[in-house]
Amino acid sequence: MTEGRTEVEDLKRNFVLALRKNTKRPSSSTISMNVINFLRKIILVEKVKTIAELLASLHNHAKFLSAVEPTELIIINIVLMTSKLARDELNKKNGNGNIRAYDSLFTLCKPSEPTDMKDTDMKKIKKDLIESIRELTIEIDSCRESISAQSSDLIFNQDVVMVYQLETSKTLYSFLAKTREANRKYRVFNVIPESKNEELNDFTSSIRLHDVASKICETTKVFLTCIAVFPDGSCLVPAGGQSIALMAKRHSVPVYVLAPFYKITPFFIPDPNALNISQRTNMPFEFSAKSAGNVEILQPAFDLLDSQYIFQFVSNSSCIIPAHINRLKEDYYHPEDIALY
Amino acid sequence: MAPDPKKPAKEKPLTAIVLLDSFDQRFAPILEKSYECFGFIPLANIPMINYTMNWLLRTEIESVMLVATGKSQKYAKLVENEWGSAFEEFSVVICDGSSSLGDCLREIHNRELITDNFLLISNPSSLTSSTLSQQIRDFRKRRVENADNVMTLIYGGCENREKSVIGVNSDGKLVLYPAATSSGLIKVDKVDFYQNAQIRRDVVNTGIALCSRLIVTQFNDNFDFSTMEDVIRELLSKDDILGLNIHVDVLPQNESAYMAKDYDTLLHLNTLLLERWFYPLTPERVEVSRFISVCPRNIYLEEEDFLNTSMSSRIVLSDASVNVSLGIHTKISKTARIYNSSIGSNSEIAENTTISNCIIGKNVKIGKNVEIFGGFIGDNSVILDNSKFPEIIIGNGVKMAEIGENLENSAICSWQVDEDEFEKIVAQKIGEELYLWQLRNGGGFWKISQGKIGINMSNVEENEEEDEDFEEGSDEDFDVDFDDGFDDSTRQFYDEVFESMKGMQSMANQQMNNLILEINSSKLACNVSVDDVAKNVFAAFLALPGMEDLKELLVLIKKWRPLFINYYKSSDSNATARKLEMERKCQIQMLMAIEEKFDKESANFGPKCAKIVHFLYNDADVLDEEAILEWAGSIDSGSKLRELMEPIVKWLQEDDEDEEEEED
Repeated sequence: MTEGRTEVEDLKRNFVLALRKNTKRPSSSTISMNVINFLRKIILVEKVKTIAELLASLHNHAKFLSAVEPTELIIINIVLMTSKLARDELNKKNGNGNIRAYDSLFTLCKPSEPTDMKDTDMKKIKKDLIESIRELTIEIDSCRESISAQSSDLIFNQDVVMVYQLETSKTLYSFLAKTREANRKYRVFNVIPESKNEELNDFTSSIRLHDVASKICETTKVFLTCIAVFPDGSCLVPAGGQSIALMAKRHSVPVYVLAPFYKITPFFIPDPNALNISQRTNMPFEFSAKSAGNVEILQPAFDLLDSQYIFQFVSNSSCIIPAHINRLKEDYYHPEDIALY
Repeated sequence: MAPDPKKPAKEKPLTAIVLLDSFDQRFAPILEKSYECFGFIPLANIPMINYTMNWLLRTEIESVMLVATGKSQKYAKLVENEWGSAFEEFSVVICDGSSSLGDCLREIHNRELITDNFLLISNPSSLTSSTLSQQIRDFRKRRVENADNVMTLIYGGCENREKSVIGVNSDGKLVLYPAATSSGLIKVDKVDFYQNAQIRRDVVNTGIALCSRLIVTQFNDNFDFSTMEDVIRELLSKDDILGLNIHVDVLPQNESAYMAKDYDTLLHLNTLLLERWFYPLTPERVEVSRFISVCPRNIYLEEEDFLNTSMSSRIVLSDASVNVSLGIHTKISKTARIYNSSIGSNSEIAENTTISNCIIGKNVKIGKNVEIFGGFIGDNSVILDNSKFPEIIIGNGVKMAEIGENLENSAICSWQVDEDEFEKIVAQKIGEELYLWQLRNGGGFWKISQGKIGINMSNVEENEEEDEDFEEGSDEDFDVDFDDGFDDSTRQFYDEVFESMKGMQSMANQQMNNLILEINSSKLACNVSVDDVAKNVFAAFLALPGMEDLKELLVLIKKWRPLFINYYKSSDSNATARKLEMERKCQIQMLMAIEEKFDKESANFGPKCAKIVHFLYNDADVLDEEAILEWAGSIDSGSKLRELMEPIVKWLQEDDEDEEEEED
């Protein structure tokens, strides 16, 4: 540990540094696992007396991390899930664990702030909380598998599937691989951006983004990956995803978006542009000598995809239409936590 | 230690040696009483050393050795505190009293801190978006193939602003490197073309080098080496003796790499960072404990507190502004236009001001209708309304007043320069707490090419006019110097000798031995021929102040006779014929110097010529008669000098005949 910093601060630093150490963004499941591990350590290390203090400190960390890494919404999602778990533990203790936080009567019988629970045995709660966090990790771990399991219900013989940037998503890959195990015969177009090199794959044929328009006529289904799903059913997809979805809409091809539960963000983002970091421009470095400061080059990392272009989200439990996402967030988040953001 | 060729796969990760300081005095106006340490100059409001550490995180480097001078010890500790936990090993090496990279590396060598290959970052502003994994792999492969492949220099694939050139052959081996005095010129021999040397100007040095331990040994063996360039030149010039190879690795076009050497490149680097050329190395993702959000048009806003960060972009600047980094609590008028600049916290910019390519410190107040195109403004400074500056350097706490002075090539500070510490800078008072700093050699602070103040050439004062001529010359599309005539090293030699003589002249106790030593060391440093030495020593002597007066000149010749004897005549009576021949050549060169001086200023110098020659022959006994006769015979028959020399020649010939007669 370095002088002048507490153990918790060191944990935070190391978490952020580990995240930034990567040249490419690690897969979302890796990030969420890292967040959970980080939170578990925090809960173990930090000395809190009441559950309210615990929640406050969790939110504090979440705000810190989201300020440092504003584009990683997964961090906030996981913290909020943990906070919901903590609240559930408390409710279980108090015997009113069955009240659903979103039921309208709930607001009437809303328990007063959990600060009153002085006699609550924090040690016991912490232990239970760690246990339920462990369950959460198991759920995240199995996410890929449960999404892949649905593939045989979605892809059939003679289908022509279009995917975008297959090499960046392990979930998408295993989703396709699962159907192949089931001996379905179908074709896959893998769209890759101009800047990337073609990667040879035994069962996909690679096409460039500008070929999408001609190939979409043959396509029967489009599968996209996403960065975050918002309650209104819109989602952030890797840049270029929107143009594919627009093309699909024009040709009435259904667009499916693979959305593990930890990508469902419980609040609206007023201005998704704020999240949209731009990457390095695709221009060769040679050009920088003359162009730097004179030319504005946009290279956003994501596209915001409106809910009207999405046919269904493939989540770990089932396929959901965009309108139902708002309802789904109840399973994972507590309204009072969401209100803080 | 050479790596074991049997198991190249299991390599220990390299150690990174990072220098925290720059030893260039041109940065003194913004470092002293301000950032104090070069590595802490902010780029997009973040100390540049943090970028370096951040990109090192993405490489295979696990252990970092941060090298700092005694002055920046506390800054080194700050860096250690911030980044120490991010690497497996992090050590700070304080080299007290070091004044160059060479000093630091010698110190490291003496402490035996380097045991293996290492990655050297000789300037904290060396940034790259690459992980260098391919480059490190290639370096190891080359080391295994041949232990004499001692170093790989990493270059970025971008034209450099100094227009410097290098020559590389098809294997990536460095074969040509410009001399210290002119980065845009290299000497090419025919043999280089046979060997497929490629002259490249489309590359930029990044200050990143993959080195074997031998490089440090080179520094240690040559105590006067101060920069990496010295080692590179040494290895290249002694290629046939040492047989050591340097390779150049140019990064692919999708990776960026750059290094700041002067104000011009520093501001360019700032713009590149703001434009996100170094992604994933971007300003908002460098420091863990600061909260910076990015808005469209590359506008970076820093928040004081993470609780205030909102997930929506705010509009704080006019639509025209692009690539701006703002610190906390900045007050910028909506009518101000700001391009490619970073502005420190609590600074204020008033209406209708245009700022472009600037790095502005904290608590700076800039008035209305100001126009600044390129500049570095220190903390707590105030700029008056309606000021207009092209390229300006303003130190800390300067309250600008109306200044009639021409600000070109200078910096403005609020304190007098400490000339003991920065001997290359002079300052003049121009107002209440206002001092105009200038480089002693008249060059500009802004660009390195505007006047070199290399650290190793402490007694070189470059002729500015000459330098500018060079600039213009090298701006032409051809940068390769085929001309073998009066080249640059001779010029440098002449300057150095002139300085040494001037110094000696002003001393009370004139020790010729010391002067001879100085001249000899200049001769070695500039690598000039014996002929050039002979010619330039006397030319420099004739150019000394006070030499217009013949009497004084003759007195000094007498006084400095040991010097001339040393170069033009051996006291050895039984010298070999060959030696005599050499002497004669030297003496002719001496006379050539007189002739050149005569050509330049025949009116003044003309009448003295004959007397000087006569004195040198008769009284000082430096010249021999054969030399004079041979030289006099070679003078252009139409020249006035021939006329002037006629009496001496006649007299000598008579003398000769007399002698012959006597002998008979």
